[in-house]
Amino acid sequence: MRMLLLGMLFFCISCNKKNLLDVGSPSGVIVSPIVYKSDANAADVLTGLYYIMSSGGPATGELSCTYYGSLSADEFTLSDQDELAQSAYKNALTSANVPLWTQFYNYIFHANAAIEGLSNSTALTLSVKQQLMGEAKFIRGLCYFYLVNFFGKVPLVVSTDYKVNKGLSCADMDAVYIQIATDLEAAQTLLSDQYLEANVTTLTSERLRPTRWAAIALLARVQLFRRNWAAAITAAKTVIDHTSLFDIAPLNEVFLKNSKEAIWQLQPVNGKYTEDGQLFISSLPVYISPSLLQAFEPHDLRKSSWLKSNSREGNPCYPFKYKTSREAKTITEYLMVLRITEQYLIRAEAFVQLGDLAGARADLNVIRHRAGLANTTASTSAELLAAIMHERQVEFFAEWGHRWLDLKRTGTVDAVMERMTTQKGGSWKTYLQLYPIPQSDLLLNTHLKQNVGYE
Amino acid sequence: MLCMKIPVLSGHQPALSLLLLLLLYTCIPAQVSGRQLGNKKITLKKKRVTVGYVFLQIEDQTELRFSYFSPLIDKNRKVNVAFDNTPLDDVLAFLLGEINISWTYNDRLISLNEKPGKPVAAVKAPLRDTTYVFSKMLDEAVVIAYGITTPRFNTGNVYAVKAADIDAEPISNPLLVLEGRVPGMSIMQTGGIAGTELKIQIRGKNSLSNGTEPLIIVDGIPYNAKVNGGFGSFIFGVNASAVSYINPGDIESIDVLKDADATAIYGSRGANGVVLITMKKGQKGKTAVRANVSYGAGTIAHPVQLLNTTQYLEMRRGAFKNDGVTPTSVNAPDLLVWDTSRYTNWQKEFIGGTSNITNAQLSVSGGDTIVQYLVSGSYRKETTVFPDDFGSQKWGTHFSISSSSANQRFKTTLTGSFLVDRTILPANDFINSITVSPNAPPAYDAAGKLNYSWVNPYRALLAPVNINVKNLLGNAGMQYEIFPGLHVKANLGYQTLSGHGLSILPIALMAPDQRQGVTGSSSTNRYEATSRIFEPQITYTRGLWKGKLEALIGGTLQQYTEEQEIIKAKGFKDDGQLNDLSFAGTISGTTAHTAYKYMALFGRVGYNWKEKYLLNLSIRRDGSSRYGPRMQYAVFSAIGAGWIFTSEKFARRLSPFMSYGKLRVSYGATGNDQIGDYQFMDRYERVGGTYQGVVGLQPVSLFNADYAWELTRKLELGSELGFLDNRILLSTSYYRYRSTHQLVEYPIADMQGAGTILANLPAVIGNSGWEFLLTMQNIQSRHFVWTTSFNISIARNRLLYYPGRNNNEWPATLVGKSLSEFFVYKMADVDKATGAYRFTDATGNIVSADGFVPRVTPVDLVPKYFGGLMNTFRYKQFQLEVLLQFTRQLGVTDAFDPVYQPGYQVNQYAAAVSNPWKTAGDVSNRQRFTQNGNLRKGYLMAIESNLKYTDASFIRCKNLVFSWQLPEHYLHKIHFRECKFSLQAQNLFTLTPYQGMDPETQSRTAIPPLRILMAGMQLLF
Repeated sequence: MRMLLLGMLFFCISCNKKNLLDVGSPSGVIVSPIVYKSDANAADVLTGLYYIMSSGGPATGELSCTYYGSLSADEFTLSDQDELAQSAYKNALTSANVPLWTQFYNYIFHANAAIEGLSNSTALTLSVKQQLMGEAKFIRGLCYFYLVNFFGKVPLVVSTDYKVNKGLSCADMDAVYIQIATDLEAAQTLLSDQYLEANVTTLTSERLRPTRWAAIALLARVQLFRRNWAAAITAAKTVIDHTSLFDIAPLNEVFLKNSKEAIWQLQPVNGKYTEDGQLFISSLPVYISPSLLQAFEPHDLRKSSWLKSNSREGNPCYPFKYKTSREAKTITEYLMVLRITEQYLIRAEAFVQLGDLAGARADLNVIRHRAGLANTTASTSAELLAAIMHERQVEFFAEWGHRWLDLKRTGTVDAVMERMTTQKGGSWKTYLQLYPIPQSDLLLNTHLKQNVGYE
Repeated sequence: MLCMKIPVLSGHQPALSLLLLLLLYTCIPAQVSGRQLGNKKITLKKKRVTVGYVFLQIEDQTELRFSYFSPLIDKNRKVNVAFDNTPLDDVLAFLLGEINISWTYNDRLISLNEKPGKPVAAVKAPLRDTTYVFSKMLDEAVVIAYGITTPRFNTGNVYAVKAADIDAEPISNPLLVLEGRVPGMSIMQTGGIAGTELKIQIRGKNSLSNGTEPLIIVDGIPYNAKVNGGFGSFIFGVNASAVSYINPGDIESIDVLKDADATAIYGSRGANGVVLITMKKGQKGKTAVRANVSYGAGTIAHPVQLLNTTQYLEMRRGAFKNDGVTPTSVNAPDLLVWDTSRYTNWQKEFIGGTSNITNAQLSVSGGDTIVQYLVSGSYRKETTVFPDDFGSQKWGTHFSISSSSANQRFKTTLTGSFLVDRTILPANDFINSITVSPNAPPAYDAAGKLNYSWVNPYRALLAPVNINVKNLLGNAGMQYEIFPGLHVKANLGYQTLSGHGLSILPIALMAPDQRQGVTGSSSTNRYEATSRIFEPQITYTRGLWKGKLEALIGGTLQQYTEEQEIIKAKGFKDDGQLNDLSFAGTISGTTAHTAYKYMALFGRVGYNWKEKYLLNLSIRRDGSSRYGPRMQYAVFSAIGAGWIFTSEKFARRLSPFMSYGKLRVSYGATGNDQIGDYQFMDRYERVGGTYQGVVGLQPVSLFNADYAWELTRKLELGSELGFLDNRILLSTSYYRYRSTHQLVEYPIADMQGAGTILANLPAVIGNSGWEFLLTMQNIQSRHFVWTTSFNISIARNRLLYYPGRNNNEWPATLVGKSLSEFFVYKMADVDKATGAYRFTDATGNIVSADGFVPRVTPVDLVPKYFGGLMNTFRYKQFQLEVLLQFTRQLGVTDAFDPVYQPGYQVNQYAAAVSNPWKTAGDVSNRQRFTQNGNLRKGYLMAIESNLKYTDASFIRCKNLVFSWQLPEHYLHKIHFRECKFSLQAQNLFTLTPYQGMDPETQSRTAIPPLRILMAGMQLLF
């Protein structure tokens, strides 16, 4: 009898315990409680994200910002018949088939999962946790930067709770930019100022993980896009002044792995070549458009260094920033995400806007000199701005959609594209500067609103 | 005393736990002494009451129930009684003594039996002013959740199979006894080898993509019916049947619970029905020694027809001619190298053997008024129909000890079973080898050595799979009566099934001249599943307003863990060392661990007013580790009500035609928790390569805090009608189930980042059906008894609603249709010009296989109706029992080789090559013979077309028992209480339009259920 009562008591007590239904984690499958229990596994989450980014998608290859940004702008002549590429090229994307969206949001999910897992974890070494948190926030900021620039108003997904996300509507671009700035500012303080190995503890010379400098560099760009000139200058200056790591590299060395030019690069994972190199050199779906070709000044070394002509009729040129496109013994090139030249041009532009024309000219000339060109002849603010835009065009072609984003932010997109789209076989309308939101998402989340013109 | 709960809950060593259980038990009787059930006091003073009335009063006052074969007792005999605190034994002696009936107490049953040596008491004409006529079918106890009841007063739907039925069938898996007997329950064997999985479903498919197997509970312990991984045996496949490691001879009853009233108390695990297995317990009485021995043989009942050498060679030559290819010694050794005059019936060689079955069981039971015991040992050997000596051997022990204290208030029961199985199976089911060329060279050369000159299937003999399994079940129950009617109980249960299978690939598989540098390898598959349960309960029974109130409240704590470990070892230099890992070159392995925890509170209140109106309410609050944090607890409840209208005054007019009539209804909610462990967690996977030299991780699923059970709401309407003194009993049930909260992987917006989420959708599945069970005592005379039992189940399954917009994607396409419906190609004809299969597209056009061919023909393989017919005849000492099982269904033909088109160097089932296309202009429905891949696409589509689906309905003589009992006077001479000789036949014959081996398994890769003939003897002394 006593035993029974004891048994009942035991039962009643144990029923009140919350962990009674806690079964821990399974083996064979990896669940988040396991992942964020060890430094190594937690670091693997971000390493996995870089692997995925580098294996193809918005960061590189035929589904990238590089490719679609250039197609949408005035940089390429498309010979490939791929339906999606054609519709982007003719500025005639429809909501049935939209590039970039899905993968960017997949990266954001990956980053959000990491941020949540890291936040909930108490088991990690503080420095590891900080670095990883910084990396995840940096990536999230990077993704939203491109999403807001390609799509305009986008849903701001900052958690993995599908019930919350299910009801999200499109956030104002300002709100998205605030989120980007918040993430990058946090990343700037969290990230290491040294390059790290995959264990995020050991130092390395491999520029394969985001650092504090990457966060500041991206922040400089964001400030420029937001017309916060002074902030843009401060940020760009911080990176430029860190000369122990960064410097302007000779043209043929810019895209080599761990070049001094590089602020952050992605290591090729599908072969010993970058996906961009494979795309532009081997697959060869595009040539440089006549208008871009004409934009190069005479004697611009970038024309010979970064372009290569084909034996086909008219000897069309294709992008040749990356030189490797097939298997080699060792990897010589990493995919460039952020590089120091951009910081000079960001600062130059911001200087102009704040009236420091001499400072602007100096920064601009650094880049011109490397390309074998003389000092800029621009003297007025307007001339200098035009010279900087021109410099950006010939410097950043076929790279991360810089041109497409520049056209839009400077308000020149209509003027340029009216002409270009017709040449490309389409017809330009202002609303086409934003990509449509995929129809499938509009169906599954009725709170989303299609961009104007695509409804 | 405190030691009691800890060892049982935490013991990892089965043997240790058993020992501890025993120790635990032995310390209890010390404080127990004194009297027995028979000393329970009865007080009743009345004149001219029926025996039936007295029985009811006894049941009320003792909380025991009577159990007996109805013709034994004339319930309507009038007696005058004047009991005043009279011991039950004396009361029973008064009532039963003069009609020569003895009684024993068994758990909560008073079992009545005729005393040996006298004929059955004649049934007197019943008087009509009585409460009711007793009947075996209505008044024999059935086990329900946490208790027992009788069909007469049950508001739910429960079907009971008793030990006698189980003993009648020579089965190795106890659940097989349910085949053909239980309305609404479909059981499909997946193979004919002991231990292969059974597919069980009660009342249709309740889930779109999750498990629908019933919950199996053995003596209160939830029992996982599947051995995940099948010990690595190819023959067992994905799962082996864990229930086959329970000895059928140790089972007292199997009860199948179906409707909400019966299953809602199992909460989130009751949706698919519940099967309660109750193990045998000791009984009071003179020590009974029971011995059962039987021996028999199993063979494949319906071999298929294969081509003989002449037909085969014709096919092969035709194939080369059709393809315009010249046979060479490389592409046609069977035509040019092998002896074309040879013929071997490989089917006979490989699966034509006899499975020898030996079954032996010895049990001793008995006990006095304080302690009752049962000790039993069993042995079963079952070989296969394959060549060589494969098969399984099982050694089992089972015991049960019950005791009560002096004042009857403290009771304990300890039950334990331990079974060891050793199974040796070939690496492959030899049924897969019956299609080797009929003129293939001999398997062994003149010197008796294995012939390696061809791909000789006999090599499989060199690579047996050795499986060793241990199954331990232990259960301790305690009960204390605080005051009359109020009991506190606690049950502790422990079960562990562990085993390992060793598969080997010896060097000897290679021809002697090719063994240079070859090493052997082995794979060990270890499995251990452990279940622990603790269930405290309080029950309360009392009379209330001329009725009887029964209340129950209890709790459950359960833990289940499953460990699996696969060790692969390579590089063995000697075949003799394959079972010793220390000789391996390299060893690699994987482990998998899953755990499940469950807790619940449950309660039930039943009220029986004047045996007319019955009401039953049950409720359970469940918590399970399988559910997401926001949904970890759930409440399920049900209401059942019954009206015995024959107890009403107006119903007297119905007599004598209608002797019993009950209408019942139940409604409630149950859950399905077969939704996998850990599924709500966000999972990560390794990415496909390295970055910075490290393979990173990627989140692949979203965390779902709301991940939860699937819900089935069950409505049942039923009636039980008895006619002509309950000689005819008709039980009718109509059920209507609605299953929702379906867990489906469904698409979410890309902006969510994960593509899909596994979450509960408000899709609705409808299952409804009718079940009829008719039992008739056709003839009931002193020397001749004939009873018939017939059941039939008709079910309908529909997906009623599926949310979402895209109606072109599965499963939305099924709305309005059966869940199991799918589409297959429609074979139109064989192209007269080319001899290739052609198909019909959606618009009725005939198209070739080269282009896109849509699947246009709907197919549903779920049986339309099924059931069984049982007839029992007894004449003097002879008894004949025949169980026929029938199913109306569409099935899959086993005729077509899934890989090789007719014409390749393999033999074909004759049905697959009847009248093929031979020359241009031939009209045929079989493609031309070919020995290359040109027609492959069309062939693979044809064997996935209407050609593959055929009527697989059948009527099978599932079981037949013919027995002869030694007459009393001989028994007395040899001092035996019982001596019975029996002949049993399982799957004796099958009537079916189905062409292949077996319409139940419908497989050409697994041995069908065997036709088994057994001779046996049962002795009791």
